[in-house]
Amino acid sequence: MRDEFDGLRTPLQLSPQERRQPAWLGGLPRRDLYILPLLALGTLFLLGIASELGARILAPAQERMSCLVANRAFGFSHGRPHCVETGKIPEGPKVVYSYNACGYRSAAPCGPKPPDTWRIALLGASFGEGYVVPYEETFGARTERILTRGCGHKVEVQNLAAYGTSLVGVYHEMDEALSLKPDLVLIAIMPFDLEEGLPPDQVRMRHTPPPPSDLGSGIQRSPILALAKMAKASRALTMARHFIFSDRDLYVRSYLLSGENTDFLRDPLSPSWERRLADFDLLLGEMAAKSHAAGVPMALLMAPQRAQAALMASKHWPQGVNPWVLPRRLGQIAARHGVRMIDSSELFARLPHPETLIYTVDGHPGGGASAIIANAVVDSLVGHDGTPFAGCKIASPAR
Amino acid sequence: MPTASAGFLLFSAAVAIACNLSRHPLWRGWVLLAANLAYLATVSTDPSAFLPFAAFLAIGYAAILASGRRRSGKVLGTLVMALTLGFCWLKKYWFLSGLGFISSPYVTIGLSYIFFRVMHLVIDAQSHREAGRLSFLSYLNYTLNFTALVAGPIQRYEDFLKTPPPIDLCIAGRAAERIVIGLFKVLVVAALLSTVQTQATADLLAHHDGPDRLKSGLVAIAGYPIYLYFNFSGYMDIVIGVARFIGMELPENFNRPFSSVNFIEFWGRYHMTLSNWLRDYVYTPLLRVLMTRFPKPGRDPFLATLAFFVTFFLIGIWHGPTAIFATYGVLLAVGISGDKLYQTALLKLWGRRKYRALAEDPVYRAVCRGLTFTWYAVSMLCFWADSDEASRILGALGPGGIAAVFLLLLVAATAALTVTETLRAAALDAGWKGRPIMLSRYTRTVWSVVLAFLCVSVAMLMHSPAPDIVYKTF
Repeated sequence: MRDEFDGLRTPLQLSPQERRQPAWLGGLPRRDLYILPLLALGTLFLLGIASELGARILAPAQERMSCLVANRAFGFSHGRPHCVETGKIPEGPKVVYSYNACGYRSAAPCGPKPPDTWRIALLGASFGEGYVVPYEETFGARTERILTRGCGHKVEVQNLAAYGTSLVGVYHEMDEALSLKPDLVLIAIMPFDLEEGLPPDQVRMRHTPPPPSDLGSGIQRSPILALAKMAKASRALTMARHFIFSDRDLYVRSYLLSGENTDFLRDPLSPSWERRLADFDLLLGEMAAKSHAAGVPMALLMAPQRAQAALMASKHWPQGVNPWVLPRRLGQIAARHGVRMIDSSELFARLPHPETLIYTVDGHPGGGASAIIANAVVDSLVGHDGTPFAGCKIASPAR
Repeated sequence: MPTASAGFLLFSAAVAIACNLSRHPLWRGWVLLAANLAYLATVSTDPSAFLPFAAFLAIGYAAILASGRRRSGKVLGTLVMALTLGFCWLKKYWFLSGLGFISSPYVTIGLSYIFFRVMHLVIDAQSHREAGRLSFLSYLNYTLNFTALVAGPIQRYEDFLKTPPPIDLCIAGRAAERIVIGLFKVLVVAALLSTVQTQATADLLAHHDGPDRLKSGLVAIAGYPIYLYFNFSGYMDIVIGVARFIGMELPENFNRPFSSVNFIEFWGRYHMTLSNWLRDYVYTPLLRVLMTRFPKPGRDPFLATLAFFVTFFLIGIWHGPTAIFATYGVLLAVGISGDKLYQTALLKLWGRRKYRALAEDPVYRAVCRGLTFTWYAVSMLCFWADSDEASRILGALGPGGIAAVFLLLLVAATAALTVTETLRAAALDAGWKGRPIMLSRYTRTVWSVVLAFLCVSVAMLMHSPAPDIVYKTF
């Protein structure tokens, strides 16, 4: 059989020109030193394009930012009143986001609180809003339904949380939340809110936010960042990461290697995480003071991130890793300010594979995780004094 | 460390770099030994688990030296018998259960292949001085060669000693292409076939009725040999490619076995190093003994048939110590000796010219190809199913179902293999300026990149790792 790749011709069979070539070429013409790598790269490029097209067809996505208005000076976002839009991430279903007259993602109207209605004001960012979760499946809507059924009162959740809100933004929304005359203020966070939502400048200048004109464009022009942004936008890479990280061990291992942001899983916490917790302590203290002054109880809800949930369930942690450090520290901060801590992590840790309930690449909890979070909220509210919900007759799946 | 894994490839790359730092044989020898021991160390963390393995290796070396020093049939017979018994005892063959076995777990990885290598040296030491005088370093590297430890190929010592031409771009290109093809076979084709075949077996045992049952039976029985071929030959491609970077040339183990038109040809193309070993050390000596005992010329074909039967029965029982593997051996032996008898009878009946004309007829060849595959696939049932599962499968099909599956398999295999052969010939014929396009280095570069891309993509999409190399267990 003829075999051009062979190149194992004896020297006698080589042409005079070939004989002048170095031995390491093995009889290959010099031009192949360029042609073959270019051919390989070209093939990879075409395969990459084909994969990207395939991924975009198989896993479509839809941007959803037309309903949200960012208040960059105060660091929070709000929905436009009565706005409805559809969004979809490649990993999840199509989700309709609709906002009430106040721009909250709530089915209940946001006017004066009707008599015989108990109201919860929910603050937070994407997690609190129920990003990538259909409204009926969000933990806010589920909590509302379960409590209404079990308390003999109409319970409504006014969901002020919105995608893109920082924790400083949450701090600035406190007055608006209290103006709704709620029976409870619930602040929902995930570790990434602490990681991204506490810019030191914003925390320092929280009482005198800069005018919008002083804010930069926010567009970073570094070519490396542009490349990283391109890679992040690639649907094929997103789906590749989705499938690779379906493997729990691989995901946790690579997550722990992904830098300082993951240090909330380490014991002791890193200095930057200590700084974040100190800033959060400051903000929560001032929010709690306002809330207590208004006579409204306050609760802090925490849900674990995907790697954290996986570690909590696996019980075998690498050296120096402890997924419970952050919930424990947040609990201490909350207790110091008279805020009830609702840690849904404990319910996640009881599941064999809780990480499957959280979107692999996107990182937000899906509908299943929202059900667990709602159970944790209900369980905590019903099981403790200090809110009207204490004593509601609800069979807790958590207990 | 699975062969089709990034870990193995990285380990091999490190060994290849270290080996190529110097061409001095001693340097290469010690680097290889370190690599072989490091590879073995990944098998078990318990040093005591290596003791029986090490003892077998030490006894093997002593037997080779003894065979080289005392050249006599008696000595050789004793050594062969002792080594065979030792091997069977370590592999816990049922007929030695009276002796009692070691109860704690111990390493047996690659023991069968080590046994073949040691036996070859013990026998050859009687006639070749080289084999009887090998150094312990060389012996360890030959028997423990990490590229061929897990599942072969069974290389001859004289071939192991040969130094292939130094690596250049063409050789490196071919070796890399070979590794990519191997990875594609193991990680993509074999993994998908394994899923299909396992599902079909489960469906068959779930008692579906009528056509569904036949379909499941057909897929389960036909699927396994194809899966095994891709799994095993893919492993071979990887280790042959890897070994070439290290400066070794491993023998080929497969040569398109399903293109064979009879069982004798099939075993010349499938697991070739095992077939060749058995031909050299079992079939040929046995036939020689038989022909000496029964020297009538007319009996030769029948004696060859008997020698084939014994050899292939041994192949069957080599695969495992239980009764089902004896059945497997009988089926293989019936296939090959039946083939030999059929050829002998036709030659006698029709004469050489008429037989040759028939053997060259394309339709006859296609049917023979289908029949060879079918018989092999049916025999394989005893290979992949244990006694209980095999009887449940046969029970689920029933006598009519078994006959129907056999016939359907024959028709399907004949058609599929004919199409495959035709397409392959057409693809190789397609040329430009008298050169076959499919064999061009440019086509092959593109093809290799596509396969590598598919390997990565499928490995990502699969939620479970690809099945390990099946022959690792033998």
